[in-house]
Amino acid sequence: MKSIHKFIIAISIGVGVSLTSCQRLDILPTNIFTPEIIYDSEAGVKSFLATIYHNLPIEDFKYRPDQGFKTGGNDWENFYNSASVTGEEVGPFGGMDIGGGFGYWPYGDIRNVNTLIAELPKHVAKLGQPTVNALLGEAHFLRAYYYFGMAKRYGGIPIITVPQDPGAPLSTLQVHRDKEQAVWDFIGTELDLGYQMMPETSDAGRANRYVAAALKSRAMLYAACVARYGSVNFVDGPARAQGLVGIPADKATAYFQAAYDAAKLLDGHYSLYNANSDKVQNYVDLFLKSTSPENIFIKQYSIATHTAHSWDATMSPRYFTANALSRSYPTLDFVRLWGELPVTNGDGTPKRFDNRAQLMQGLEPRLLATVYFPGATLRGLMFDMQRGIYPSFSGTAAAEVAKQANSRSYILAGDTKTLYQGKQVIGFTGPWTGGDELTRTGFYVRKYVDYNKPQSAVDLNRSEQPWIDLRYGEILLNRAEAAMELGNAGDALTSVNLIRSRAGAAPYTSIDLNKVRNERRMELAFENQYYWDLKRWRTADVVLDRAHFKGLMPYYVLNENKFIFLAETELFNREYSFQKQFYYEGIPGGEIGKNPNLLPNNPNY
Amino acid sequence: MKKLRYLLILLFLFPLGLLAQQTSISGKVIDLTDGSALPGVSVKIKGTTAGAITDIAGKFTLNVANTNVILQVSYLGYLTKEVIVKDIKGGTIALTATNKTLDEVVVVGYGVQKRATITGSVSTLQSKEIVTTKNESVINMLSGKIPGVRIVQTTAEPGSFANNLNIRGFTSAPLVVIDGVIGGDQSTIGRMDPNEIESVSVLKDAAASIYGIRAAGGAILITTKKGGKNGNININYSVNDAIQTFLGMPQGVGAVDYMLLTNEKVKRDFANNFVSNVTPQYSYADIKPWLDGTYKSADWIGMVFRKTANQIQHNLNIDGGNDKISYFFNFGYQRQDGVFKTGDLNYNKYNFRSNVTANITKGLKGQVLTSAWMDEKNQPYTDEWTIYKYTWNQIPTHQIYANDNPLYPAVIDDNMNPSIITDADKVGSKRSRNKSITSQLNLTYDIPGIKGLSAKALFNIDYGVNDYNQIKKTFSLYTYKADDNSYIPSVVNSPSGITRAYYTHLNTLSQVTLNYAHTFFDDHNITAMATYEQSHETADNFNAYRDTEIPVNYLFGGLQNSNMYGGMDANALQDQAHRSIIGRFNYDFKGKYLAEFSFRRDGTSLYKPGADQYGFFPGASIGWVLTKEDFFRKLVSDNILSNLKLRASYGKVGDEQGNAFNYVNGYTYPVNNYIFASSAVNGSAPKLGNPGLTWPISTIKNIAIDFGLFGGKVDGTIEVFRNDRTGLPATPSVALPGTVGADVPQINYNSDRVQGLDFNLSYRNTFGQLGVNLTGNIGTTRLKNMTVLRSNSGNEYLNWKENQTNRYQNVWWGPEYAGQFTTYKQIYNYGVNTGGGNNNTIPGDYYYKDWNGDGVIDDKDSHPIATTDIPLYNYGFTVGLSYKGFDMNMLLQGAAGVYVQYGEQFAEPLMYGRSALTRFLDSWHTADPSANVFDPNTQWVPGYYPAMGSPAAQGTKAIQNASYLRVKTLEFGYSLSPAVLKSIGVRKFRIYVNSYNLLTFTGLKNYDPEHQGPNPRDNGDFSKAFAGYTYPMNRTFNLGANVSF
Repeated sequence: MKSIHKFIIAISIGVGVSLTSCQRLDILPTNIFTPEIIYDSEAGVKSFLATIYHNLPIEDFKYRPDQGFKTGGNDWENFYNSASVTGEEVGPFGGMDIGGGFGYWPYGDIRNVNTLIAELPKHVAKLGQPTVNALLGEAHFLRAYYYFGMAKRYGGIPIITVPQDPGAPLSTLQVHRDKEQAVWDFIGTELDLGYQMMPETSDAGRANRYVAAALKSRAMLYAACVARYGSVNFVDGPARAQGLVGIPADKATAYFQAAYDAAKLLDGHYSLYNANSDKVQNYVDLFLKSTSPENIFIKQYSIATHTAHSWDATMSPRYFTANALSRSYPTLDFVRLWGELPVTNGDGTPKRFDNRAQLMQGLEPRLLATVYFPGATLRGLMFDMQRGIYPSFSGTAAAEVAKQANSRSYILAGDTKTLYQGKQVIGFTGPWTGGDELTRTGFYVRKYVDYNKPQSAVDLNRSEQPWIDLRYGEILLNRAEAAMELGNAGDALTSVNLIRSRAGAAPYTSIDLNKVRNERRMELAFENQYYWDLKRWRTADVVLDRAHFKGLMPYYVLNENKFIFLAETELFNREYSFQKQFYYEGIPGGEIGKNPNLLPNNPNY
Repeated sequence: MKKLRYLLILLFLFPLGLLAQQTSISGKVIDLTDGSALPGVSVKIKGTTAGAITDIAGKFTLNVANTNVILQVSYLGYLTKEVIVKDIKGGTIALTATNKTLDEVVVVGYGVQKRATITGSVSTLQSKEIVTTKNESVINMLSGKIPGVRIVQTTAEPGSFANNLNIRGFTSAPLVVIDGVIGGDQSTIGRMDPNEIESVSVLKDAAASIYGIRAAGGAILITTKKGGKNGNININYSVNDAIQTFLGMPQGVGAVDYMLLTNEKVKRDFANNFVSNVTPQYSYADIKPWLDGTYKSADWIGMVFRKTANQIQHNLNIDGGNDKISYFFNFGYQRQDGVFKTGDLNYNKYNFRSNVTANITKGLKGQVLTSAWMDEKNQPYTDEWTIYKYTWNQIPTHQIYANDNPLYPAVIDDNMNPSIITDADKVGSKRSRNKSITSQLNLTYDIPGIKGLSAKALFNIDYGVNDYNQIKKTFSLYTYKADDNSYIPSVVNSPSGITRAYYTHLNTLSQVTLNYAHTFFDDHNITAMATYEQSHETADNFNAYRDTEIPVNYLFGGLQNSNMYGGMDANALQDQAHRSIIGRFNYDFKGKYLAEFSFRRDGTSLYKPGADQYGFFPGASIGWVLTKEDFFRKLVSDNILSNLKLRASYGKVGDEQGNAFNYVNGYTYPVNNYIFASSAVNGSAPKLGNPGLTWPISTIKNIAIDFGLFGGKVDGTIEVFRNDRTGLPATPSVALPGTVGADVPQINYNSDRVQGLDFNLSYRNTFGQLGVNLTGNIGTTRLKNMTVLRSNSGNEYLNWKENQTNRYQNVWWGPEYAGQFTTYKQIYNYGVNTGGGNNNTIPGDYYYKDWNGDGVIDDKDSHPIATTDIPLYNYGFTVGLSYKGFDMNMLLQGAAGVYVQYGEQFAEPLMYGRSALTRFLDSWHTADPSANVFDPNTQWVPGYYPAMGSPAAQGTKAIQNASYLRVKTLEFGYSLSPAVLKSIGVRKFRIYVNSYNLLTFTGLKNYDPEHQGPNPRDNGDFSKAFAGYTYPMNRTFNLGANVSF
C-alpha cells in the first residue's frame, strides 16, 4: 500500500505543478506596434511612410482607369490601361471606357497623412526639429497628391486635415463638400509647404522639394484648364451652381501662372536625358534608366517583394517573350500625330516596299522608340506583322479597303503554319483575329519595353523597370502649355524645341497651342497623361464621338514579291464614346448613402 | 487465461455427466437482429451450476437430464433468455439485444452518459456503421448517416480532404474533440483511419454548451478504440482496393466541330453581319484537311486525363487485454492516385495509433493514447485549376506538338500546353508533407473513502509540421516555321527555382477533473463533474526561395541573387490560450424525470486581458420518460410503445470570432512594402482598437421526442431547434462617412438565427435468419439575419434589394427564365424588350419574365429565385440486410433545395476564343451553315442550347436545381463460416465488394451535383470555386477483405 501512496503523491505533485504553472491569457500580439516604435525613429516613420507611398494614386503600369490602383503581386493585366480607352491604343475590352470611374475615395490614406502630421510634432525630442520639418513637408506633399487624385475626378470634395474621432456625433462627421476652387487652392498651398520644408534631394521613390514643385505644375495646369475650358464646355446642375464643380473663368490665368512658376523652379536641377547620340536608342533608354537626370519622381518594383509589373509581357506578343498576353495596340491614328506615313503613292495606289522595315526609313526617332513598326526587331527576332497575302494587287488602297471583306482577293489564314504558295500567310506577330493576343492594328508599344531582358525572363509579374511618375520632359511641356495659355509664345517655343531636339525632330520656328498639345501627346504617349489631357482640355466629347480607330495592315503581294500597307479599321472594331457628364465622375453612391451632405451630386449623376 | 478456465470448467463438468442418465444436446446462439453467431455466451441449466459456454461459432454442447430442462442463456448486452430444451427450434437460440440504443453508452462533453437518460441532442455513430462506406476521407464516410450533420464533398482530389461540413446549418465550423481533447477541424477527422474510431458523437444543442466559447458550431466528438478486457487478442487485417472513375468529366469538340461552331459564332455578331454576312472565319478549304483526315484533332482531354485511377488502403490492428491492461494498436496505409495520366498527382498517408490502458493499482488507472500520421501529396507545379481550364477548352485545331513532331511541344496560349503542365518531370512539382503526433497521458483515481468520487488528470500535446517543397522547372515550347521547316524555341518558366516552406504547430492541453456519481435512497441518481482545463496553441512558419541553374532540388543548390528571398506568413503565426472551469450536474428520479445543468467559464487570450476575457456559458436540459410512468403504461402497451421521452434544452455557447487583438491601439506591421532608394521598406498602418469587443453569443433551444416502438424494433427522434446568435461583429465603417477614413474596429452588433428540424427513424428486425436494419434521417434548416449594421440605401428599391435585416439568407437573385424563342415571328411579336430592342435576338435565344412589368428585361427584373450554399434538406437512408454469411449495405444519400451555377466554358461555348464542350453541339443552328442568322427566312435546327454567340443563360436558366439522390454506398459482403475458419486458425474472414457514388439521380444536366460552381457567397472571389475548373468527383469500385486472427 505504501508504494501506492507514493505513486499517488508523485502524480498529485506532477499534476499540481503542471496546473499551477497557469497558462497566462494576456498574450500580446506579435505584429502590432505601439506609436513609440513608429515615431521614435526615422526607420519607424519610414515604415508608416511606406504605407502612404504604397497607396499613393500613381497611375503606373498597373493602373486601370475602371478599377483603379493595383498594388498586388499578381496585377498583371497591364493592357487595361488608359491609353486603350482614349484611342492612343485599342483593346478588345468592351465596357471599359473613359467614362467610368472606380469610386476613388482615399480618405483612409488621407487620415494616415493627417495622423502623421498630427503626431510628428509630438516627437521632436527623439527625431529632432529638422527631421520633423522635412517629414512634415513630405506629408504635405503626400496629402496634396491624394487630394489631386480626387479633385481631377470629382471637382470639389470635403477637405479633411485632421484625424476625426470616429466616435464623434454623426452630424459632425457628415461633412459637406468644399468648392472645387478651394480644393485646388488647398493642393497648391500644400505643395508650397512641401516645397518650403523638404530638402533638395531624396532617395529614389521619395519626394523632395522639386517633386512638390513638379506636381504643382501638373496640378495647377489642370485647375487652370478647368477654369478656362470647363466654363465653356460643361453640363449644368446644382453642383455647378454651388461651385462644387467648375471654377470661374477669370481664375484661369492665376492657375496657369502658378503652373508656369512651379515648372520654372526645376530649371537647372533636372535635365532631359541625352546620354546616347543615337536618338532612337536614347529615347528608348530614357524609360529604362532609373538614374536618368530627367527622373523627378519614380515608383520602383521588384520580383522579390512581389511588386513586379508585367509591362514587357503585356505589350509584346508571345513570340518575343516566355509568356505574354498582349491585348492593346497603338493605333494608326496615334502614329499619324507625326504626320501621314508614306504608304500611298500620289495616284492612290499602295506604295510597294521591298521589305517591311523600309517603312521606318526617315521616321522621327521618337516615334520609332515609342512604337514597334513592322520590320523592327526585338531580342533578335523581327516584328513580322503581316495580315495576309495578295496573290496580286491592283488599284488604289482606298478602293480596296472600301470593299466588302468577302469580295477582297486577299488570302487570310487561321494560323501561322498555313502556307500559300510556300509563303507564310500571317506573321507570328499578327495581325490576326483568331485571338486577342496578337496586334490588331499592325503596331506594338515600344515605350518602356525592356529590350535587354532575355526572352526567357519576359513573363508575367517579372518586369522591374521603374514607372517614371514625374519627369522633366513633362515639366517642360507643362511650362510650355502654361506659357502658351499666358501668351508667352517665346517661352513655349523654347521648351517645345528642347523636347523636339532630344526627340530627333526638326525644331519649330513658330508655335501655337495646338502644336504644344500635339507635342505633349507625342512625348507623353502611353504615360497615362492623354486621358486627363482629354478631360481637362474638355475635348473628349469631340474626339471620342462614336470614334473608330485605324490600324496599318501589312500585306505581301506575291506576284511582285513586295509588301504594301493598307490603313484599315482596327480589327477589334471597337467604338469609343464620351458623354459630357464624364468630365466629372459622380460621388460614389455608397458614400452619399452614409453622408447625404455630399449632395448635390455632380451634374447628370 | 479465460480459455483455460473454460477448459477447466468443461473438464470438471464432464465427469458429472457420466453420473446421470443424460441426453446430449447441441445448439447455436445467435443475435436476433443480424443472425450473427455469439461466442462466449453462458448457457446454464436452470437451478444447477451445470452449463456451457458457446464457442467461436456460437455453438455449445450440453448434457441435460431431459428435454424439459430450462436453459438460462445470458450474455452481456443481451436480455437473458430462458428456454425449455424441447422448445428450441432448429437448434438455434436467438438472443435479443437489450434495447441497444437505450443501453448504449454515449460519449458526451467531458464524460459519458447512458442513452436512456440523455436530455441533450446528441447523435452517435458506431464504428461498424462508419466503415460501410469506403472512401479516402472519414468525413465522406459519415455523409448521410447522422441527422443534422450536413456534408458536401467539394472534391475527390487526393489529399485535399475538402468538405463543406456543418451541424444544422450553423455558420461556424463545429468544434472537433478527439478523445476529450479539443483541436483540429473536419480535415483532422478526414485524415483519421476509420478503423481506429470507436464512435462519433455529435452535440447539436445545449449539450455543446460545455465547450463554451468555441462551440457555436456544435461539437463533433471522436472516441478511439481502446482494446478489450476479455483476455482475447484480436489481430485484424483489412484491405480495400479501389478503382476510381471520374464523374462529370467534360469532353471537348473535335476540330471540324470547333471550326463550324466558331463560324456560327462569328456570323452571330450582329454589328458585323447585319445586313450581310462577313466571311466565315474558317473556309471550306480550312476545314477540308480535318475532314479528310490530313490533319488530326488534338485530343487534349484524352492526353491529360485517365479514365480510371487506383486507390488502396491497408489496415492492421491488434486489440486485446485483460483486467490489468488493455491495448489497441493500429497501423493504416492509404494511397490514392489522381486523374492525371502522368501519375504526378497522388497521395500517400500513414496512420499509427497506440492506445494503452493500465490498471496500475486498485482504483488507479492510467492511459496513454498516442496517434501519429504522416502524409504526402504530390502534384505538378502548375496551378491545378489552370490544368482543367486549359485542357477542357484547348482548341482542337491547335497542335500538341509543333508540326506534330513529339520532340517539340508547341507554343500554346499562356504556355499551358497540357502535354507539359501535368508532367512534374518537365514543369516541376509541388510536394506537401504533413507529420503530426498527438499524445495524451491521463490518470483516473477512485478516491478512497467516498464512494463514487474519482479524480482524473490529463495532459495532451499535439505537434505537427507541414513541409512544403515547390520546384519550378524551365522548359521549352516551340513554334514551327513552315517556310524553312525549322522550330523556334521559347523558354518558359524561367528561371527555375525552389520554394521551401515550413509550418509547425504545438498545442498543449491539461485538465483535472473530479467526477462523482451516487444513488441516494434508491431512486435519486446524481452525477456531478467539475473540470479545470487550460490550453495553449502556438504556430510558426518560414519560407524561402532561390533561383536554380542546375537541377539540384534543394535550396543549397540555389543561386544567391536578387531573386532570393526568405520570409514568413504572418497570418499563420499563432499564440493563443484558453482557461476554463467546467461543471456538470445530472439528476434523475428513477430514470423517469431527468435534468442536467452544465456550465463553462471560459477565458480566451483573443480579447482584452482581464475580466473581458472570460465568459460564462450555461446549458440546461430536462427530460421526461413517459413510458416509465404507470399511468402511461396503462394507456399504451409496452409492446407498442416501448419508449417515449420528451426533452428540452436551453443553452448558450460562444463564437470565438472577430479580429484577434481588436482591443489593441497601435500600428499593424507589416501590411505592405514600398521601395525607397534601392531596398524595400515594410509598411505599417494605424489600427484603432475597441477594448469592449466580445464574442457573439448563441442561444440554442431544442425540443425533442425520442420514441421506441414494438419492443425496440423501431426507434426514432424528432427534434426542432432554434439558434439565435447575437453580438456578431460588425464594422461600423459601413455606416460611418468615408471621409472619416478610420479603419474602425469591429463592434458587437449584428444578429442572426438558424432554425430547423431533424428527424430520424430506424427499424431493426429479423425474419428467420434474415436480419433487417433500416435507418433514415432528414434534416432541414434556414439561416436568417435579424439585425444588420448598414448604411441607408439610396432609395426604396435598393433598400428592398440590399437590406438584409430580418431576412432569410443564402438567396440567389436573378431573372426568371420564360422560354426560348423558336421563330422570328415570335421575336417580332414579343412585346418585351429583352435588352437592345430585340433586333439582335435570334431563334434559340432565351427570354426572361418581365417580372416588374416595365416592358424591359434588365437588372430590375432580378428577384430571389433560389437558395445558395449547402442544401435546404439533407437526407440519408441506410438499408442493411444479412442472411447467413451474406450481408448487404446500401446508403442512399441526397439533398434537396440545392442550386448550382457554372461559369466560363460550362456556360458559354468558345469563351475567350477557345474551344467548346461537346454538350454545346446540341444547340440552335441554321440548316444551311452559311445562312444569315438575322434573315427572317433562314431555316433553323433547334437544340438545347441557344446558337453560338448568343447570350449565355441567366437567372433560373443558369442556376439549376441540383437536388440529387445518390447510391452513396452499396456493399455486398460474405463472411466465411467460423467453423471452416477455425481449422486454419482464422477467427473471422469477410470479403466484400463495394461501390461509392455508384448511381446518381438528379435533374441537373451534364454535371455532377456536388461539383462546385461559382456562388454569390464567394463575393466574386474566383479562388473559391475556380469557376468550376476543379478536380472531379469520383466513383469507386472497391474489393476488400477483413481477416481476424
